[in-house]
This record gives sequence, C-alpha cells and structure tokens, in this order.
Amino acid sequence: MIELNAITKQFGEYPALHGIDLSINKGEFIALLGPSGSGKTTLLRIIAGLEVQDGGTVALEGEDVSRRKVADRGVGFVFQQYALFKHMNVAENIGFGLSVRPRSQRPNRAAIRARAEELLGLVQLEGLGNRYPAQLSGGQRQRVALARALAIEPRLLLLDEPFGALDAKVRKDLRRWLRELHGRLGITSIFVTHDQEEALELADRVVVMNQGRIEQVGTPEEIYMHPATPFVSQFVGETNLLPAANGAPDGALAVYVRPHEIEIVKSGGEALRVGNVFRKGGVWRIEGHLAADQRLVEIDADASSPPPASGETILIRPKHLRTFAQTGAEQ
Amino acid sequence: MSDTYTPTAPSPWLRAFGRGVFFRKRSRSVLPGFRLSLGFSVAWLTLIVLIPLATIILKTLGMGWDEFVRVGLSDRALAAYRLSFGTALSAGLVNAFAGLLVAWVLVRYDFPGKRVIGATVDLPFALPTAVAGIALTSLYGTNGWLGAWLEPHGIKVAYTPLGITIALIFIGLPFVVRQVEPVLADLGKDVEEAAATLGARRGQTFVRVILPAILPALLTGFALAFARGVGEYGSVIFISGNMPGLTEIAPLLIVTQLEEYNYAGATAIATIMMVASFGILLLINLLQAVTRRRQA
Amino acid sequence: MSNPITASTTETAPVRWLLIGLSLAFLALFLVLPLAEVFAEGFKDGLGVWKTAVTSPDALASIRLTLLIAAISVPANLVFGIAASWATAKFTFPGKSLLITLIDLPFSVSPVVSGMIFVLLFGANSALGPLLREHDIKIIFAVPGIVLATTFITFPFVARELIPLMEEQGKDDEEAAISLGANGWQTFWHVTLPNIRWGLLYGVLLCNARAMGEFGAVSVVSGHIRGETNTMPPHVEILYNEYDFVGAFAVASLLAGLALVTLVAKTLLEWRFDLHHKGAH
Repeated sequence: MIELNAITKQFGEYPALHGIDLSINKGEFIALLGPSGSGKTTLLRIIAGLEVQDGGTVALEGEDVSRRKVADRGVGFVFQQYALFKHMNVAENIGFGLSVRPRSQRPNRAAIRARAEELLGLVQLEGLGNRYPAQLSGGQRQRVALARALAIEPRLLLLDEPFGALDAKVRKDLRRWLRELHGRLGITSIFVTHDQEEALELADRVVVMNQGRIEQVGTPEEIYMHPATPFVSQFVGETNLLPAANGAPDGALAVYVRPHEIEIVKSGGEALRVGNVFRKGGVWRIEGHLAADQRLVEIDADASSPPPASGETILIRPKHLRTFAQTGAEQ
Repeated sequence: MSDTYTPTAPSPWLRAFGRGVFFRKRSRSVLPGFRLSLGFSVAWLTLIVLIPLATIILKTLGMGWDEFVRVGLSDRALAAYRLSFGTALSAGLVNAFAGLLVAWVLVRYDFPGKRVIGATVDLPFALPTAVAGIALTSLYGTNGWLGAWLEPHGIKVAYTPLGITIALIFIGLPFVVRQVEPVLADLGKDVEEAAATLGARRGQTFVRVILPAILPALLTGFALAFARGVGEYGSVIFISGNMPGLTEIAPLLIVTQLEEYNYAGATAIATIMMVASFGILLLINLLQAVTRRRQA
Repeated sequence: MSNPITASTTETAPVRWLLIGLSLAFLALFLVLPLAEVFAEGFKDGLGVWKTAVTSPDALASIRLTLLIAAISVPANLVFGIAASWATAKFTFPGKSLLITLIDLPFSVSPVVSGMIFVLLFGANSALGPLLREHDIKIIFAVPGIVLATTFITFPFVARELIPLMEEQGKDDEEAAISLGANGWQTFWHVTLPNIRWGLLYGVLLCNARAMGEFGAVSVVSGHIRGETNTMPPHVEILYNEYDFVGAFAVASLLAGLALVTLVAKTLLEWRFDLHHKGAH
C-alpha cells in the first residue's frame, strides 16, 4: 500500500530524517511513536505532501507520488489543532473537499449535504451540521475534522497527534472510538503520537522513531516485550538499566529490565537499599539504590503482600533480561 | 463567586487586606487614585471634546429646518457631498485591494528590505497632510514627474476628482494594511494545509478559506480609510482645484463658509457629513457583525 | 531546490515575486514618490536657498509656534492619557466602555470640523464672543485656539496606547506594591511607570507628530496671520499659494524630516520592545 524509500529531509542545517524506509500494508493502523524532534511529524507531512522530501520516494498503491501536489494525493489529514474553517458550519466543513472538486466531478449541493449528514452520523454528531466550530467542544471538533478528512474518501488517513489538544478523559474515549471506527472502515491509517500508551493501545504496528531514524517497527507486543534497541526499551515503558555483570551473556555491556521483571529474592540477588515506596495502581512501586554502585532501580512488587520498609536492604534479581551490545550512553 | 482571580475581582485575601487598611467602600480595589484619575479624565474629556462637539448639535438645533435644508442641501453642497463620498469610496476600494496585497506580501513572504518597507506603510500617519498635499500636486501637475508623463496620454490628475482619489489613497492605505496584517499573521497555516489536503487548489483556498477569515478586518480597514477620506482636508485641497460644484470637497466647503462667517451653513454641512458618515459606518458594522458572528 | 513542487501553503516563486513586485511598485508610487518629491523640490535650488527659506523670519516664527503648540498639547494629553488609562485599566465602574469610546471620538471627526467647533464656541458670532471681546481675550485667530484645536485632534493618541497596555498588565504588581506599604505615587513611579514607559513613549511620539503636522483644524482657527498664528503646515500652504514653491517645499522638508524621524523611532520601538500595534492612527 505505502512504500517509503530512503526518505531524507533537512531543515536548514538540521537533519530531520536520515533515509527512512518503511512499508505499510493495506488496512493497517500504524503509529509513528517518538519524542519531539524525532522526525515523526515531518515523515507524516511528507507522506501527505505537505512537506517535500529532499531525497527518496513515496509510493501509494504502487504509484510514485513523490512529485504529486498535496491536493492530488487523495490523502486525508487530521491536524492536531483541528484546523476547522471557522467561518463555515460543520456541514460546510465536512463538504468542503467535495465542493472544491473540478466541476465535472463535483456532486451537487444536495448530494454534498447528504454526504456530510452521513459522515456526521458516522462520527456520532447527528444534527450538529448547522453549528459553527466555535460552538463545539474539543472532542467534537476533532471528530468533525475526522469526518471532513473522510469525506473525500481518502486512500490513506493521516492523523497528526490527533488527541494532543484534548484533556485526558476525552482523549481516552476518543481513542477507543477511533479504534472501533478503524475496525469498521478498515482504511489504512497512520497516526503520530509521543504517547507510548496511545501507540500501544491503538496501533496494529508501531514505528518507533528517534533522531530522524526508525529504531524499530513491530506489533505493540514486540515493541514492549522485545525492544530492538536501548532507545526503544527506555522510551516505551519503564526500564531499569543494570550493570552487565548481572548474569548477562558475554559481550553485552548493559542490561535493561522492566520494573515488573525484577523479583525480590531471599538469596542470590543484588543488594538494594529501599528508598521511597508507594502504591502504583495494583502494585507497590519500590524505588531504591543498588548497594554496589548506588544506581537508582525501580521495582514493581506484588501488592498482596506488605512492601519492604524504607531504609531496609533487600535482594533483587531480574526475571527477564534484555541486553544490547551497547553502552548505556543513551540513558 | 468563583475563586479564580481576575483583575476585576480582587482576591479575597487582598480584599480583606484592603478593607482593613484603607476602608475604601466605593471602589473595592486596594489601588488608590480612582477618584482623582477618573475625575480628571472625565473633566478633561468634557472640556476638550464633549462641550466643543456639543456646540454642533446646539447650533444645528437652533437653526430651524428650512434654513438647515437650504444651506445643507444646496446644489453646491450636494455636489460636494457626492464628490467627497464618491472619491472616499473609490479610494477605499483601491486601498482594500492594495492594502490586502501589501499586508499579504509583508506577512507571507521574505524579501530583502522587508522591515524598511513595512515601516514605510505608516508614512501617511506620520507625514503632515499639507506636505503630502503639495507633494502630490507637484508630482501630478503638468510639469511634475508623473503629470508630465500622464497628461500626454490624456490622463489629467491634478485638479480633477482623480487627483482627489489619489490623495485619499495615500491617506487611507495604512488603515487597511494595519487592520489586515495581524489577522493574516494569526491565521494558522494548518487551515490552509487542511484545505490543500482536501483537494483545494491555491486559488480556491484563498477565496474560500483565507478571504472569509480576513474579511471582517478588511472591512474595518476599508471603513476607517473611507471615514478618514470623507473628512480629509490637507492632502486634498492642493490637488483638488477647488472649483465649486466640480472639485470642491465638503470639508473645503465648510472652511469656505466659515471664512464667510456663515457659521450656520458650515454647521449644517458638517452635521450632514457626520450623519452620513456615521450611517455608512453603522452599515459596515452591521455587515461585519454578520460576517463575524460565527467566528467568535 | 531540486524538487520542482513547492510546499502547499505558499505560491510558486514567480507568483510570489510578482506579488512582491506589485506591492512594492504600489508603495513606491503612492507613498515613497511623494516623500521624495518633497526633498527634491525643497533642495532643488541648492542648500543655500533651502537655508534662506527655512530661516526667513516668518518661517522661524512658524517653527517656534509649532514647537510651542506641541509643547503644550502633548504634555496635556500625556497627563490625560495616564489618568484615563489608570482609571479604566485598573478599576471597573459603570460607563467604562462609554468613556473609552468617547476618548476615541476625535478620530472620527473631520479636521476642519474639529477646528469649526472651537470657532462656534469662541468665535466672534458665538454666545461667548461678546464676553470674550469685553475682557479682551482672543482665542480664535490666536494661539489659544490653535492649542485647543490641536489638543482636540491629538486627544486619543496617548490614552489609546496606554489603555490596552495597562489592561494587559493587570494590577497584580500595583497591588503587591501597595501590600508592601508603598503609597499611591510611589506605586505609580516605581511600579506602573517602568512597565508602561515604552508604550508611553510610543503614544507621545505619534501624538507629537500629529500635533506638529496638523493642518485642517489649525487653518480653521488660526486665521493665517503670518508670523503670528501660522504653524508650519499653514505656513507651507501660504508659501505654496503664493507660488513660492521652493520656500513651501523647504519648510515642508522639515516636516517630512520630522515624519521620517518619527517613523524610525516608532519602528525601533516596535522591534525592540515588541509592541504590537493594530490599526493605529
């Protein structure tokens, strides 16, 4: 469906993307996950044609669209700040894409309005067609923006931090709703986020980006359980960086362990001096320093038994090891 | 009462403090000087602005309807209104286009010398009108740099309504540019990008997305330029030629009446001009209210 | 640029340069050319003639009078502007928005009408006329009339700059100062004034430019008495109407110089202190 081939982009002196290769299948729901400045939004905008790559090609459905203007790519784009047209009502916003078509392909007024109403139903905003964007809540506006992008029947839907401007509760509802909608429409979609939880919850596959490069592409399970690089391990989920000596295979220099992958043992573990202990959802979060080198380690311990007291020394051992043949330079 | 602190609602803590220390009942603010500053402002406003302006109303009311109509609606006066409003309207329209163009270029594009050019736009605000008036007259006169070039082509500018319009274009341009500029700058790039992703061509985006968003500001700029143009005197009288009935603008007619000590005539003309101006401004405001209503 | 397609929200280079070219041509034709004409005509016959023209007794008298008028009107409106903005920005009271609207009133009145109202009020045929004559007080066709008309014309300038500025700054700082024991004047001098000084300067600058350059209102009330009631703009008019073009443009070039200084200072203030200005007058 989408083939990105060696995409590079430079903003002045600052390299934003270093040769991105990525292929996405029809109907997939893809998350571009990364910290700010990782190039994820730039990549999304290049796919849309809002930004022009310096090198490389973008192919949609086997067709090289690298030199096609944004208006000719047939790509739906949802903006972080909605970007609704304030002077048009909701129905006019949704119908905009149809109304700017060349005269020969343009549906008549009534057909455009009917299509808008239909999409309003799809995004569960029936009857709000005559409202103006200023009269809607943030969540409603984002759904109008989505309906507007869907109205042109895009072959690809791109969403730039679609929930970024919403508050936590609305975000969560909208997230669930969007996943259902994707399930129903099956339209190939890519969304950009810096929120790993959002990426893991929504996407079929997650593309983790850092400093203009792709670190890993994989299912949420793969990304979380089998991070390919130290960066992924640290960026997705919480991670402790332990010295490699702790039973690591030969050659490995650093060991990454998730807080819930560390167990408290009676003997044969590393000594840890307990600092803060607090409840974190269903588990105890124990923060402490290794006796050996004072490094900070976070542990999630079963909350059914009482936690160790602050100041106590306990023995810990990783249940599961992840090693990278790199130093901890990226910590 | 909400617990959020706003400048107009002093925090409970400060209010309690204020009561304890100052015993101010009238203004609940702890800040001093309310009576002094307001009293002085209102007194000064009344003396310098309100009382003098009220004399127009008094004079008009004391005139009697027949006389008011005789002077205020004489043929000469009617011709002057037509000229003043007509040229102000034409200049306003030219400025609406040119001002939009200049604002667009200043906001959207980068080019060498942009800042200096941005500052030039304010020249008509800073240059005394009489100076502009003689300079334009000299430029467009028969021997002027532009006049010498235009007149052989049959375009006569000095001492014609065209000359008046040019003077009013000079005066009015910054009003439009300065109104449109900030709105254009605030207009998010993302709406234009959204239009592009939906398949709109650049021209469609301009007409359907950008123009409606800046229309209220453009209208305000036009209205300000127009209102200024109707009352403008200094930059116009040199280039207008001042022929009664032909190139005599309404403000000049007022001056002429005053010079003849015909205060009633001057007042009648001034009143009609002001009523007409306010009427037109009101109309533009209404138009604006319609365009702006939904974008709040 | 290796790639022929451009970003989606700008025009292609040729269109861009066409629009830039068009607007520069418009500005050059309508704004810059008249300004250049003033200096070209003023210095046409050389520096010596220019100097003679601007140092003639009548010219010097008009310069002196212009400075005098500005020296009265500008401080008067400065004090008013500070008082009005203090009252409206730091306090709420009924009729506040009406007050702000009324302050702007002089902007919507034609300059000649601004002069006319003082003629109606103090002129020979006015109600006050006989009384003034009796006490031998001359207002119209004399300096007091010019001061009044100029003050009226420039009335909103300072207030209009300061009111939004002070409103934006709120009154937290002042309340903090008061709570620390400062009195009203101390608070104003040490807290408010430093916060508003650049906006104040900006307003004074524009006010001064208009005060020195006002023509319509002043010509109505001044009576055009040479060497006595002519400020610089009416003096330019007289010289011009007498076909003393070089003299007229020489004095005009002084006023144009003032305009340029004003523009430069205004622009510097805007750049340096990030004052935002919409629809100034």
